[in-house]
Amino acid sequence: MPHNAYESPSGRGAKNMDASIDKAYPDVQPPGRPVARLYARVALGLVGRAFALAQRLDPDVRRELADLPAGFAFALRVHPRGPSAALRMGADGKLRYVGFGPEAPEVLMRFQNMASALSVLTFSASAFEVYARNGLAVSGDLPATMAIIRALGLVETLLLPRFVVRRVLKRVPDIPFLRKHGVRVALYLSLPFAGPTKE
Amino acid sequence: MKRGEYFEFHNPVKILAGKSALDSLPNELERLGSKRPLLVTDKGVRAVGLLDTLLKAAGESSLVLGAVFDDVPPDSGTRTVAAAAKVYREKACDGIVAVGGGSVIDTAKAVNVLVTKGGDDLVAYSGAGAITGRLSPFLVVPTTAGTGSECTLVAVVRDDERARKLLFVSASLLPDAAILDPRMTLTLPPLVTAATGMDALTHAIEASICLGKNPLSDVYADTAIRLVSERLVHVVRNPSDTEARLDLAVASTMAGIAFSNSMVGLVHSLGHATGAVCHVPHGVAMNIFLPHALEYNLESRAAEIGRLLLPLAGPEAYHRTPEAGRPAAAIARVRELQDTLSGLAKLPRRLSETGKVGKEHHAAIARAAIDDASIAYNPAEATLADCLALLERAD
Repeated sequence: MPHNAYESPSGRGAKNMDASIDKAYPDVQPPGRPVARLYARVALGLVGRAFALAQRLDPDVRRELADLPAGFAFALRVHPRGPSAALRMGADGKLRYVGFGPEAPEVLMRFQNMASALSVLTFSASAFEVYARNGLAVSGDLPATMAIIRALGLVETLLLPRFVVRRVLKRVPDIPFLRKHGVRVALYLSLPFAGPTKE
Repeated sequence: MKRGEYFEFHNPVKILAGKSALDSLPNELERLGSKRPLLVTDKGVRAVGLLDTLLKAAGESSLVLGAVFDDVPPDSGTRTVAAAAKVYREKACDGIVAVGGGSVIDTAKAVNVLVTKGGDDLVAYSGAGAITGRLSPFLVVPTTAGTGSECTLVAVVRDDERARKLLFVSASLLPDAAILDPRMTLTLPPLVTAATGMDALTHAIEASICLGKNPLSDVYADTAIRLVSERLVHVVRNPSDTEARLDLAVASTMAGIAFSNSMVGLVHSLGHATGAVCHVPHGVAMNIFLPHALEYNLESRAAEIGRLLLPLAGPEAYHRTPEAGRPAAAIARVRELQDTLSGLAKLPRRLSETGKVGKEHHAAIARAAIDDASIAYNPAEATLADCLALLERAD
């Protein structure tokens, strides 16, 4: 009989020792951040819904996304388990918010952690800066990704007041006053009734 | 960057530099456990005798090359990568040595993905973060002093089926070691020396002003700028000066480390686009667009551009120049370098001097530039109209 259980990992003693090690040194998981998670979920849901609506209401957003083929999906997601906001281009040329979306969309913009997501979603940092510092990883077709990023800038401009947009974009896009505010009112009125489309 | 802001810096590449650095190649392969590496190169490298130089340096060692694949074209694509991977597998190779410039190194990076991960579908690994884990032993011997690809986590390979560029971004692509030996750049003609040197300078300058800049990338960028500024013209005039050649090789590698950790911006967006539309060599395009893009970024990065005067012109010129005048003086120093290289090596300073770019190409170049990923890292926003105006100024 071995003088200690480590010498016989397959023996009975090892099982006893494993159990006691497990008890003394249990798996450790960091605590959840339910408030942050809820905020990110709500904010991403709003961005997803606003993106789909803006594509129908604003010609510049529509033009930027015109080359995306039917069925093309893209998502903004917090690594590793979400939340996530995905959009898919329909056969009718209309963009639809589809909730969490497919596991592997054609373009995935993935916040590397909750802190990176919150810095962008609370408008304390620009997505470009977070991207440049590896807080946001992008995978997928590059021209499509760049078009989506430009369209996202337009959506933010349509959705948010100028002083906030100036913090998150390098330059505020030049959208005619009447159109910008007309689309903004339409967005605000439509957002409460916009839900995800089931896939 | 704002003080206290999060940043990342990653460079695990062992660098062997010096007049006899090549002699250490067999030891490095042994350290990495590679007994039959595939040597990836191009016909030009072989023709000027650089392969013989390498074999001579490794003489009396246990080095056995599993095969030499020298079919890498200047603008390499997926078919070349698949062909090299086939040779690697059939000759039971167990590592890769890349000997060449940017195209050879990027091809070798892509070959390493296929032979380690399996299959022939390189497209599946494109994009950021799609390649994970450790790849096969990989050594790089650059034969130009410009791309810095020996220390970057990026590879660009043409998709031969769909006629587009595939971008691969992953820390797994980084070589295990880079060998900088001045013997490997001695045969570079003046024009290539000048163009690749300005490519290295552009990497370092863009690393110093773009959104991902950080204190560690700044250190590498500063030294690279100083070395290029001090040595490039001298090397073009004295191509056989091995010490100065080594300085340029080190500068290129340091610039590669800097931009691999902070990325590049508008000069590269326009340069990639001009290369794709009109086949202007990368270093030539960098040289043309660098001062124009610096002027474009002046408003948002005046302090950073002003600070570049120190490595570009030295401490005396820096202290002699009032703070407000330093950004303009730094750009003027870049133009002075351009003018000198134009006189010595006929390096084009304007798009019209390349003989390849006409005004009719501007729209297509601008369109491709705003779809280039590097534009996201540029400090100032650049729209289609901005790129068109910049092309007009550079014409």
